[in-house]
Amino acid sequence: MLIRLSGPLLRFMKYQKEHDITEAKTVQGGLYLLMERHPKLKPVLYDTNGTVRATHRFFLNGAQLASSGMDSLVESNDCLEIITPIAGG
Amino acid sequence: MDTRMSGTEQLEHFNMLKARMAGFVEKYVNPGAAERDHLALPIQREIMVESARVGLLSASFPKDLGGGGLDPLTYGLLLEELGRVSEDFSFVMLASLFPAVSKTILETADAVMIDRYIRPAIRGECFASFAYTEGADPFSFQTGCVKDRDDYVINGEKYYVMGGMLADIFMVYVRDENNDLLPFIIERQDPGVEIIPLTNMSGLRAVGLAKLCLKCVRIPAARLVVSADGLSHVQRFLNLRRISAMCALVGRMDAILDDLVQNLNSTIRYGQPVSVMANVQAVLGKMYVSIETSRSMLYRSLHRLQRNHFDPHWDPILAATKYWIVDQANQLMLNVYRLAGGKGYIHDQHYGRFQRDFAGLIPTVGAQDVLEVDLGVWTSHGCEMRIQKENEACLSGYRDRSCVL
Repeated sequence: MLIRLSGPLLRFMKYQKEHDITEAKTVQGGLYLLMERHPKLKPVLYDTNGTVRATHRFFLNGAQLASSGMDSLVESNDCLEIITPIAGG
Repeated sequence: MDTRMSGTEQLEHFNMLKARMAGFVEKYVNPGAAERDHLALPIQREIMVESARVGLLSASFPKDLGGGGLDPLTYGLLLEELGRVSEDFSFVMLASLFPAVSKTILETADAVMIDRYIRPAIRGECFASFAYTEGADPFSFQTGCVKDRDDYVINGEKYYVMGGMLADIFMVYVRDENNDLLPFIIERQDPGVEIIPLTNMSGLRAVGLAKLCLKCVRIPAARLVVSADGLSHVQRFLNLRRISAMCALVGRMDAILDDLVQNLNSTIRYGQPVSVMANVQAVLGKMYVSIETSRSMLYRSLHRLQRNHFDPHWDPILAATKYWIVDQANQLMLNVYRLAGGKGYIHDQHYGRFQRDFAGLIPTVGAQDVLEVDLGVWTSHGCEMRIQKENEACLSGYRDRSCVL
């Protein structure tokens, strides 16, 4: 699975936009593998209760994933995009 | 007990509040508006208390807590009307901000917090602001907390707190030892809290902008608003705030255009009012389009809130609505100067004040440039197609509601 990130998340990924996680079997599994490679991403994607932060949006092959869709099965040619629309006050 | 009001009851309550609000604004708010702006004086507390007394600050709260029980659409229309009649845009910002913060606290409040913060807010005895910005991205915030038995000890500074000079409590976003952002309620009287007035603003000079300094402020854990993921919590707040802040702006744009047309009608050039000149009418036409497109977007967003049919943390339609209305309002003020000429610039029309106030909305509740980028990323994911389909399903309900009001 290819994982693409943008915006504020890039800072935690050494500004690398695309990450090839070929061994991922599920969306969640792919994220865990990505966070193993980039540990600084973990507290940004997940809160201290281990829940994905609601401010992130996940798109699998262009379709938005609901929070219940993190167990979706993936293959090596799938593409997961993460966008984080956050603003100041 | 079902305390929700029917459409007819909403309309009756709206009309009653509208009439009371107009009288209150005329008597208390408008007379000192120019002076407050000139001297950067915060709105007097008595004015905010009086606005609560007429039901403005409580209008959107549930009836069983003593609120007005207005639904999101009717409340939005009330704020639009407030913008139309109020000549102090700082006031209307505070009149929508304080209830917005209190309602966010209410979402997760227990009985103790409701009694301590929400009921007093409804009575106009407790004003709640929010303290988030530090002049950095949220992952770089320095304000932090350390757990100490059942308390948290907080240190840091929040740079720009709207209504800070008036607020009794602050919803403050603080980084914890695990680098998570947590929202706390900090009371003005808590030891270690210092509130520094900021008066060097270009616009919205009467909002009582302040810097909040926190030095070893000890807070009981019970004042934690949510236990984790404050970043999502604040985005949820800002998502809704984008709309409550825009309602009054549309009303004020309306009032400015009315005022301008009156001026143009009384300005005679070459033996005729300038308002009959084709070039002037063309600009007036543009201004009309600005206002009506803004209103259309606003009502579309209010309708989404009404039907609870929106993304609670970041809704592209709500974001686009804020972006569009602020952009149009600032463009409108430039056009006001084009038409009003020297008379508008030199004489006491207060156009300059509103121009500065509207510019103050560019960086507020999601800076225009940030919204552009977020909306661009969103659009590139093809989500607009899905939202259009969703909205088509809502369209019939929108028509029904528009007929009622």
